[in-house]
Amino acid sequence: MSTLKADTIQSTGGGAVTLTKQHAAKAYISFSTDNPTSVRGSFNTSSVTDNGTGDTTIAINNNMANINYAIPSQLGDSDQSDNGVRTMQIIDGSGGTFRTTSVFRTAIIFSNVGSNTSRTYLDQSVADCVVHGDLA
Amino acid sequence: MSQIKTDKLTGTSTAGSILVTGEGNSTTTNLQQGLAKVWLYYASQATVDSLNISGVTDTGTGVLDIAFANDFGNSNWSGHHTTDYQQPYLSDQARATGTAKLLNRNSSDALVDATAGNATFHGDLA
Repeated sequence: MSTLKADTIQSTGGGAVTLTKQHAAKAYISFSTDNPTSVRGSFNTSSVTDNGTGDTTIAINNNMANINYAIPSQLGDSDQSDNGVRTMQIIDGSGGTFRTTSVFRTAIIFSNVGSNTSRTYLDQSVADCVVHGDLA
Repeated sequence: MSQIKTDKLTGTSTAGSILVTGEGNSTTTNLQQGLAKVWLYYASQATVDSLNISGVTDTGTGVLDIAFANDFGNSNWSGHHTTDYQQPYLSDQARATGTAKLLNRNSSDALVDATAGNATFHGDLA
């Protein structure tokens, strides 16, 4: 088996190299919104900001090229005796103001089963996000 | 276009760290940290296809215990789980370097078997 050793790989033109039919994630974070909001593990994120219960802004270290990146997100399972549905949403804000090339904002929502209007923010001990897209 | 063919890439300064230039040509990103280290597609509580999984065990209704073939360096990986039900989760309590527990709940919080599910994990390998 041949092994190629290098610290940095570029295309011959100095740009991004093509990984045959594959793309690597550009950032990931595992964080908690329990007070205090904190980072558990991460790659290419610089900070998390607590905007209130279940409301968090995550800053990206090396910026994305545009705001059209994808953010798969996931909640941990810690307490399920509340008879409701928990989801993590990416908040775009009015006109997309909450999603920029350098930050995105998440909301952890609890929806009470049987009520279409009962939706509240809540904190969660584990929440995970991954960022896929083009770097600046 | 030039093309390098090899079976293995290794960093020269640090074996497990290779930078690749980003799409905009102005920044670099760490190749190893960006790669998904584990993925799983399952159906009927059994593996259909996977990467870096050594075992999937049906330990109860709506519960799958999965074991990683190559462990993570710590338990702070970023994981994702989707199914055809309202509440797919990853157990907080069962999060470890070598294992994870996939949970699937309906809208009433009851554990139920998913018809099919998908999971991915990003983080640092040991």
